[in-house]
Amino acid sequence: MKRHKAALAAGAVCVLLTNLFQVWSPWLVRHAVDHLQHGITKSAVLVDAGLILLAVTLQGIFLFIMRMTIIRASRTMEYELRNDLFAHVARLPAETYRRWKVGDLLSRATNDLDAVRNFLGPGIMYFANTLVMFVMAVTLMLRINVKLTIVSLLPLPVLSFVVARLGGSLHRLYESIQAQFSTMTAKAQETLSGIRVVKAHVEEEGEYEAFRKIHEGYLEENRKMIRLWAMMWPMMSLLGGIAGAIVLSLGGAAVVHGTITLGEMVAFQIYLAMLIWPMIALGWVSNLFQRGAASMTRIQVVLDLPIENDVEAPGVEPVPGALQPRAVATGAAPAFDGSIELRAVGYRYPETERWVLRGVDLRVKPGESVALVGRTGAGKTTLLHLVERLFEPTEGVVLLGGVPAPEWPRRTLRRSLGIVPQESFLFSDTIKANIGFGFDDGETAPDAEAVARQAGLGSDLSQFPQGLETLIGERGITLSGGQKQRVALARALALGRRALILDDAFASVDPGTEEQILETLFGLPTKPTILLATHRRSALLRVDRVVVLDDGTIVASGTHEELLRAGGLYADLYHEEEVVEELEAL
Amino acid sequence: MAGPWGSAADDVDAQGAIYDRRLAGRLLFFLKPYRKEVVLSVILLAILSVLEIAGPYLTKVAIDTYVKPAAPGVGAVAAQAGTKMTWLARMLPHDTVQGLTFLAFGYVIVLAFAFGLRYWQTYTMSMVGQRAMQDLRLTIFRHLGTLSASYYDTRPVGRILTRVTQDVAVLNELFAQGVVAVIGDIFLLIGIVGAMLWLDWKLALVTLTTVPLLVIATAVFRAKVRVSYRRVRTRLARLNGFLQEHLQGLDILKVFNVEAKETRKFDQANKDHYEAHLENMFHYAVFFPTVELIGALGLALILWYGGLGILAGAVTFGVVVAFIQYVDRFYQPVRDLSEKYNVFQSAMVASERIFELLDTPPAVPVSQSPKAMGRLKGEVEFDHVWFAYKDEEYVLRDLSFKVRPGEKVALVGATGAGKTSIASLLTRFYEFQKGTIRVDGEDIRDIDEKALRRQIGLVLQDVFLFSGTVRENIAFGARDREPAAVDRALAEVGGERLRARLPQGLEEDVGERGGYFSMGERQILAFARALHYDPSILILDEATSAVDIETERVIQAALRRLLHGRTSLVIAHRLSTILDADRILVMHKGELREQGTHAELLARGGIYKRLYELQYSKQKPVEVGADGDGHSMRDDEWDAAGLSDDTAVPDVDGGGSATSGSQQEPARSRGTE
Repeated sequence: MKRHKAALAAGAVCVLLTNLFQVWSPWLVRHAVDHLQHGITKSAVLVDAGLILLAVTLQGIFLFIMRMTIIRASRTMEYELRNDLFAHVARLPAETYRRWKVGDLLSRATNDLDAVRNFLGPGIMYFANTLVMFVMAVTLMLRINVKLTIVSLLPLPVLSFVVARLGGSLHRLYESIQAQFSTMTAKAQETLSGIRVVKAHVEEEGEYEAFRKIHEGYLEENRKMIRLWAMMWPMMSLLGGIAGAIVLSLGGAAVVHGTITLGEMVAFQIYLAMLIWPMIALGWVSNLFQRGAASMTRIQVVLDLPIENDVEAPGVEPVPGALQPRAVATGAAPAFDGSIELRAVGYRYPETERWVLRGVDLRVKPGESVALVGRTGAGKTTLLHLVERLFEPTEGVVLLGGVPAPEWPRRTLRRSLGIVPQESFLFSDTIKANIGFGFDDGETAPDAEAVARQAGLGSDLSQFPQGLETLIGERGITLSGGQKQRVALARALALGRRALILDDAFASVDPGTEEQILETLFGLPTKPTILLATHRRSALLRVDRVVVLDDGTIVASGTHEELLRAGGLYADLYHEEEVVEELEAL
Repeated sequence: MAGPWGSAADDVDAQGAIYDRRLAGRLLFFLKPYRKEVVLSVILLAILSVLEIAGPYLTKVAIDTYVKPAAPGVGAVAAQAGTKMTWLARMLPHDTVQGLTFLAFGYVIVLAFAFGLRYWQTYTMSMVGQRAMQDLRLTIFRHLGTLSASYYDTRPVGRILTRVTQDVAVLNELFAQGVVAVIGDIFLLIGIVGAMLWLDWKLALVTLTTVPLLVIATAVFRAKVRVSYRRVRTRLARLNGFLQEHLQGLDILKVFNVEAKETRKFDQANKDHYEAHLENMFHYAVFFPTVELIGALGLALILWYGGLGILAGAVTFGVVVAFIQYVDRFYQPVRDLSEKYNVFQSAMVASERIFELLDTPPAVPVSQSPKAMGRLKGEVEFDHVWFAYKDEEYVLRDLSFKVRPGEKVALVGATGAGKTSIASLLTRFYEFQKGTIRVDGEDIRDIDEKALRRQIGLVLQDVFLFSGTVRENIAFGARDREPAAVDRALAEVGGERLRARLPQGLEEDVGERGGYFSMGERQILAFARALHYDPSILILDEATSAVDIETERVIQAALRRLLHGRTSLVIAHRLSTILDADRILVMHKGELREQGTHAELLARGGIYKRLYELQYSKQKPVEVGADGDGHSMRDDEWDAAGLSDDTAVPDVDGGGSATSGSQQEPARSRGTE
């Protein structure tokens, strides 16, 4: 708002000017009519007509400037607010944004933003316009005739009152219609989601009837609304018309008696017509104000969430109000050697009681490969998230390259880890852009094709219509689960990082390809540290060490052979996996 | 998910026009039941346009008769005789004040009439719109009930939902304000032009020279705005697509540390959208002053040419004043008419999507002469059945087996072995490609689909509870049965404890807060529902999630009660269930690989033995009790966040905030920003 003071001030001046010229033209009409009455020259008639054109042209020019300044300012504010919102959300800690539904955040960035803009642009513009127009027109009307002004304006407060009253009822009805609409949507959604159950129970008709009943209710609410709505507009022209009739009879008589001129009466009629719309708009604008304020509050809630303040990136200023300050490593960042260590780490979700991880001690040497094994829910993914610093440990400390993780600039840290998440989330862009996702503009990404080959995408590339430039997602092709995982792997490999973190990254890849990929990964010349959550035999047989997690704690650790000999959970899990793979092969 | 900002379908405007005529015809079909209302509405509009032009005319009469007689010296009423003597002039009183009051009063009466008729017309047409919308929604809803399961497999519920809700709401505008409003606007224009020509045809022609300007300005504006508006929508869709995708992928943004880079990309998309809006706004900012200017031109022409006429004594003051008012009323209908293009365009896009849905045939062919069936004995036979969800990717291959009436069969196999497909085929959710399925010796393709389903009970893993009371949920599918049957069914599956927990017993609303059910309770409810449904064949997909020992005992007892005396196919996840089964069918990769009893199959040492080791061997029948095995009752399904608790109400997947389209801006607003 503050950033646009100048634009709004210019807009305000234009509001004044455009209205000034708008009220000038009826004044000119008045003179023209009066001139005609007294019998003037033909050229004088032309001058009168020309003056009116001039007045309207000037009015039009300022109307144009007014719209261009005020509406543009509101669009600019919308644009900036949306940017702020995105930049803010992008810097929220994972623990914060994970508590929000995507749809909720999305609706704040779309619907609420629209409401705010409507308030800032059209809302302010119409409000100012109404105010100025009212003052100017009424002043001129008073100059013509005080009595006539007062009498003819009598119906207008009634109009405002009616708009306000009807507006209030309309708003309440609107809310209840919205509620009915939600009920109807919910019912349709329920039926559609449970369509198999519905069909299996031959309840299509029953559901239809239930839906119809709800829809009848919706229709009835709408009927109430329509009753009021259908009343509103005719009511306005009726009241406006009555005011006009008053001018016709009283004004006409005044003209006959010589109190006012015919031109003044005509001008009076025009002013009256000009006032009707502003009186109506007033009710509408107040509605815009209310909605805009409510929406701004909803947006502010998001903007007030504390963000990570140490997301280092060129050109991004630290945002005030960020998370509590950290000991951000200053000066030259130390080189990350790839070692990962967890000391007495425990984790539970904010505001929950259950420990997802507790008392975890783990040390991975540079270049070492460690597999995390455990049943679903044992805490493997959470452990990896702690290393990735998506989550912060509730207790204990995570050390990376011997340095406590919080002391690393997030940027340096995250750029040293190659991460393949459990769900291979890719963006609707080219395959090449997805592989180079971790590179900022201006940085040179490595040869995407070579990386794609390392990730086992070699033969797939030739099948894609435009090779690496093929678009994926809604506007492009749909990748299979295995292909997605391999692109996600390539994305992690692209930076040639010191450590790779893979969370069950090959679940959808066929065994032959998986074998190939593992071959490449474990033979990388840079010898990165590899920390992977897996249950696949092919991976378990390759890693230096296996760590078994159960119920949030490490229950065993050692080489594959050691653990197998020791029996227990690992032996069970490994045996199960053997059976599964045997079954697969059958 | 199609949000409020539309989707890729927004880009089809260009081709949309091709189908206009056919689509429009089909849409009109939904107005057919309301012919009377539509005709009435048109008549009302015709009368209204006459009333609309009465005001300026009365002003003219008032001025010419009383305020400013045409030529000095001539008697008030007599002056009229020179021009046109109307019936109105003949009945006007001679006294000025009386006359003016009379005219003003007449004007108010006209206004009051117009008020009544306008109200009547708006109400009638709006209700027609609402009704037509309801008809359309119900038609879609009913049609959705006939579509096969594969239709639902390939489309997200959110998108189908959009058809039922948003797309229909778009059509409301067409029904309520489309065609009929166009007719009304045309009436009004004809009326105004007619009145002007009648009053003074020369002045009228001079004044109307501005109309082509107005039409051209409007057409140019429309063309420009159409292009820029489409750009706005495309860019908005892109912007919101980007936003949604990145909100979903925030984790990736974080771990790759590209917040700044993606924020810049967002800024670009945001800026593109902003600029498209500015362009759009520019057109509006130019258009509105232009229209005012054209209006002023008309006014200037009237004053100039009319003024000359007055000076020459050929035109009266009243005519000039009336013309000034007519010109003012001329622009509204012209502007309205041009707005209608958008209404039609978006209606076409919406109706195309709707009719695409309505034209989708039920994929499972309906038998020409379906056989009605009495109570089935319950014999089921699969005879060399091949089935693929799509193309040639068979999930069932040459499957043959026979189940005797009353036999309990357990289906076992790894995920994707084809167990669920067997259930889906038997219930006619999908059409199979080859082979025959028989029930009581009758080909199921010859049996009436619904009659068949009345005999088959289906209990799915995820128990689906509908909004409504517990009683309604149990009675689902057999609502006409006596109420006591519901109580009995729940009691027989051991639901007393559950019932006692509910403050309002069976009348408890499952959707409301507090109506929370654990997984075990949901299963009990599902069993009660199935028992109440009383099918001769039962298909049951056992829930995998573990429950406490007490609940497990109740569930097993309930299961035995439910299966008693029925042919049953159970996709088994419980050891107790396979031990109880008369026969076990072992599915593997779409084929029936082994069958027999538990002991036989175990002895054979094949697939079953391995599956048993994987899935069942660690379970102990609860009657025996857990013997400290360590894993016996552990819950594998508990996910990392400890969120395995499930609420009774399915999560509403955001179809965007739905609006009914009833909230409108004042129609006379100076633009649509």
